[in-house]
Amino acid sequence: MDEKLYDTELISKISRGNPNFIRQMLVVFTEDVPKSLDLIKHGIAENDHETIMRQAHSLKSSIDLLNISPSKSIVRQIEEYARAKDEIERIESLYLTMERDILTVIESINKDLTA
Amino acid sequence: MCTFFHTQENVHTWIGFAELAKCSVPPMKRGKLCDLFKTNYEHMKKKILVVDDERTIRMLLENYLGQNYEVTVKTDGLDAINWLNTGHIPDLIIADINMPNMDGHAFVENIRSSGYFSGIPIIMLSASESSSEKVKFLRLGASDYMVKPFNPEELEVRIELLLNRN
Repeated sequence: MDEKLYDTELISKISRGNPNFIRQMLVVFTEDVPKSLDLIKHGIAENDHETIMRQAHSLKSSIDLLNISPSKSIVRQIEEYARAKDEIERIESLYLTMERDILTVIESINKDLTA
Repeated sequence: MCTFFHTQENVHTWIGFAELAKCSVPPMKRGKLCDLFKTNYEHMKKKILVVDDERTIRMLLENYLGQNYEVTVKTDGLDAINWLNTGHIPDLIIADINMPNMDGHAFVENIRSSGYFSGIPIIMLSASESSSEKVKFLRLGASDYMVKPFNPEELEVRIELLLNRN
């Protein structure tokens, strides 16, 4: 079964089912989220917990908005660990899982947008 | 009492303009003038200022609320304060907490300490579910607090309640 990696139910509800708006939101997601991921990656490389925490915090609503289930709890853990100034290796390991999942979602969105 | 503008001072300004235009407004006509302004005001779309650094949230709020309100979006607290200082007065503000340049905390403090804008209701919209964060902002002077991603209908009801209260 081809399981959907994201859903647009909330965006559809907010936009009262406007397909152009839903499409626009998906495009924004594919443009903005990789930038946040890069900033988290950079924060990990620089041992910069503040940047990691801020970016994870802002990524949270984008992930929730498309209901990307596997990343929902991971992004919250990353934010918490960064706030607690936890070991960077622990954060990095979570980040790599989240990055892989989100990039798969972006790939899937791009496929849907060009279909 | 004419409380349909943010302050009674605004009403008196309008009466002042009317007096200038018509030379004088007898005291007994002032009530009618207030009613006239009230009628016009009620037919105008209420103005909402949205302050959020996330493009998706700005777009969602603009799209959803834009059907019933006049929505202006700004990307951070500083941008919003600059806009307010150029003479714009929204009926309600929806603001994020974590923003660059001026965050939600400094923004609410700024608004509440300003005599002119201090009466505008502010709804905080945050990705933080923490109860202590909520309490902190309500104590600071925020009128309400909602967690992202928001339920659009709930947000609309809360907006209506705040606008009707003012």
